[in-house]
Amino acid sequence: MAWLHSWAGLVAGWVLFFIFVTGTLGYFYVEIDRWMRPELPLAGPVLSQQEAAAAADAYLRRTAPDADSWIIRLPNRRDPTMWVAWTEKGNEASERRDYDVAARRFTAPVQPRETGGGYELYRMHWQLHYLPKLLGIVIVGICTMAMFVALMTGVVAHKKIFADFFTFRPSKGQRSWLDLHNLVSVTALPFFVMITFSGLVFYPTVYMPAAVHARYGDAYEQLEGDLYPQFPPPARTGRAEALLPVNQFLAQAALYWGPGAAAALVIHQPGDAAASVVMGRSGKGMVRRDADELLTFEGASGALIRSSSSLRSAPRAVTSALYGLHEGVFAGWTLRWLYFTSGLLGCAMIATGLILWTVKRRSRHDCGERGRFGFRLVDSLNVGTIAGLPGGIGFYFWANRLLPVGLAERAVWEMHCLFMGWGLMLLWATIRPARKAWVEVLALAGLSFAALPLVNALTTSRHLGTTIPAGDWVLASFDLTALGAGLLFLAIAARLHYRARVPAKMKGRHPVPPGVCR
Amino acid sequence: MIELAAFLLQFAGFAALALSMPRHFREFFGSLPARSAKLSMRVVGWSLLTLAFIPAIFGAGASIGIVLWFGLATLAASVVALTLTYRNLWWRT
Repeated sequence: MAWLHSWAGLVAGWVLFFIFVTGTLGYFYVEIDRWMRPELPLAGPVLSQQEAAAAADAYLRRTAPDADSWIIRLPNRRDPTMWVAWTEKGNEASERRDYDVAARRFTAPVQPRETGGGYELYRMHWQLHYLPKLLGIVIVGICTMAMFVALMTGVVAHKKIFADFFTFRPSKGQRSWLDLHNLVSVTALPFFVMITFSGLVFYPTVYMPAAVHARYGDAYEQLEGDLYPQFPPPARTGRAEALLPVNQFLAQAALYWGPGAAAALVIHQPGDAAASVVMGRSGKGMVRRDADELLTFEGASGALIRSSSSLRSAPRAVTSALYGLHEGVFAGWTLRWLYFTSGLLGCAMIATGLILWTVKRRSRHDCGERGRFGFRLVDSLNVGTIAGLPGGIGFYFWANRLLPVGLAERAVWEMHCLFMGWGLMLLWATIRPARKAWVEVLALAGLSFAALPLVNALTTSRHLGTTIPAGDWVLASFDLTALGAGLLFLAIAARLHYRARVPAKMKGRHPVPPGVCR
Repeated sequence: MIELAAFLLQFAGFAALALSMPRHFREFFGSLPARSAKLSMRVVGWSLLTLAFIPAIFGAGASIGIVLWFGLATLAASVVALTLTYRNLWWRT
């Protein structure tokens, strides 16, 4: 079974590395989104949901009393912006106003630069890029299955990993790589099993369409309708009846969900006798991710019209819990960083596994100028992906700051920069000797990250000099994390560079020291 | 705070489990562990790990507390392993 572990891991390894890197960053996509839109205001004082609802309520009653519908987006821990929007009668487009907490008034929203943001990085985690959406999902699904196979065979075939737990012996070549691979695999094993299994559950109808087909034929929309029934908004009666204070609906929702768990409200026909208030739930306080969990109230009386909850069926509750676990929507800051750490360990597990494949074979092959093609391919792909992908992502952030703000299709070009950078580094890895390529590509990736705070300071006013005094730890943490990651890459590059120099006394005895290609 | 409490319990728990393994015991104490020592370390280790559920669940609720326990355990086990490897580097200076 060991061979299955090696080959499942190798064949899917580079795609899996891409999936893990983008997915790990995805745990902070909201925060990366903010960093990539430096026009947005610095984080100010945080409003309580009650204060926010009261301010929105007063403003909307004054500004848009006759609107068809209101939307109130409440502040939450991750994104403290509160905004309101409304649609006037017979109008398709809606107006939006953001709340300026310091000035206590609503203002027209700031227009940020066009950017894919953190979300676009995160989206590639399950759809890849430059591919039709469905094809991306299928490829990711196949690789996820390979990951699951590699995990299971790893546990079953290499039971020794548990006997060797807590063991890391550095500077011992292959032994050290194996130790490291085992260590990261076992410490975060529960996370890997959870994330891989739940990952497979996201698109069951794509991976196993037969069951849906048998029941619904080609009418796939009908399944959607059954899973997420849509209720048309009420029609206006023309009889005026005052809407209850918005805070009263929040208080009611707190009875069902606990305090502070509402995410947003949509109010249909405010001020009319038929008014209804639909409230959506945020992920706070529970693992289940119930995107469809809504409470609908009568606007004038406050009576509950319906509560749609996925707890209605056990299978839906299970999938919803798996989605929640996978995405960590409920996670506060500590838990979010722990998720991020586990994600990084996943990247490390895949990277060490891929490197191990070459380390094991390096001594067996004549690895001079004429290394075997397969070996050389894996070696180059390793350098180009494990060091090159982070480098490409660094370029993506540089592009966000350096591309002209008015550039047409700016978001598309940001992503082109990522893939052009990564592509060039892959190419570089194929033409340079592996050991030199490791040092050079890692150094480039390190520089691209370590210099980000500087680039940020030179191009925007949202740099460490302003974000730290303002207490905006989301923006400051991005710069600090980028700096830390950059220094780490540079340190690894420096270590590889100095280790590659063969000690003088060994030169006479071994024409090629073990494990070194020249 | 509750995270720190859970983490420290897990760190101690994993340290005890590591020392219940002959290899790590010998690195630390220079001799092989007696059967009773091995067994008691194992009992202590698992007990501490179980105890760590209390602050996690107390502070974050049952479902999120369990997720928190696993996240912290990953960190605690890694720190124990790195401590075993690099303790000479850190402590002998």
